Amino acid sequence: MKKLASVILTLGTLTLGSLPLSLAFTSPVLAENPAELNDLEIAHVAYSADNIDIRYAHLALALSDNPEVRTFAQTMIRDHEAVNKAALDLLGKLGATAQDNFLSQTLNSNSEKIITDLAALRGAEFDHAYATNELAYHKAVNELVEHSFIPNIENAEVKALFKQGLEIFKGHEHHAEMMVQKLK
Amino acid sequence: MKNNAIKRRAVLVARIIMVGATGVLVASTGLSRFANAAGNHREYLVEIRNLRFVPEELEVAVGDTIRWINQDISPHTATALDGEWDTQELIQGQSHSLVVTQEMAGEYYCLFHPHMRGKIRLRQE
Repeated sequence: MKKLASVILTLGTLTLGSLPLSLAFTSPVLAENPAELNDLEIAHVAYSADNIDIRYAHLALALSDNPEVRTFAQTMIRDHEAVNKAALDLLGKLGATAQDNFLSQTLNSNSEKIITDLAALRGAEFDHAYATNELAYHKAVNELVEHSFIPNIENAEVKALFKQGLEIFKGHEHHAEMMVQKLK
Repeated sequence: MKNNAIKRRAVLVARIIMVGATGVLVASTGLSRFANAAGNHREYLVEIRNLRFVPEELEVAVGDTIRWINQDISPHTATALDGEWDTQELIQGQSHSLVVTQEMAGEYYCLFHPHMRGKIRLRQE
């Protein structure tokens, strides 16, 4: 539970370079437990997290001239769109609809602040902040998916999709680490 | 007429058995190797799954064919480090074949996921 609380806190307090975002959750932070979300709520969180990263990537393509950053951003758009399509296809096949919930809403509202702060940066400062945020974001989401979501997903096909997605997102985390190192 | 029909059926059954046998080989080894009717060139299969080239290393001869197939949700490529050859983007379920040339020896990677690496070694025949 401590680990989970730390992940949730990380998702809400990602920092942009030296700029603390100070994104406090509306208290209490863990009034609802992500480990108790049902499959359709978990699917909604994942879909939201994918879309947030796609938005970060579009911002990077609009603001950055760095080839490394641009290649990474294009990969984020390509991969997260592919995962979201696979998720929607599966939900369609199951005749189900993802359900909005407190965690999706928290992620979305926090991302608004991060996008505003990122959009104010330019040049190397933006590149570094984007890369650092991508690394922290993927680390936090991967922790959540691996240790909270996958063990609790009941539907076998949804679980299999999340396992495949996790492999992709761990690849992104590794890619982000490489990008952060290069931008130092 | 009846004999021709029986012969055609026998050929069809033989083909189905061969296809089935190849499938078992690919499933058990991740690698498809069979002689080409036009010579001794072989075809190799590299599966892309869980952000890995499987197998990561291949020993092939010039003139052999390598087929990359993407089993992942995310699109991938198999691309020479110097960009000299490339499968282009492969979405899930897509495959692309290349005939091996001398220049293909060495490491390759996925253009979209640069940590994904594969290696081609050339066998002297």
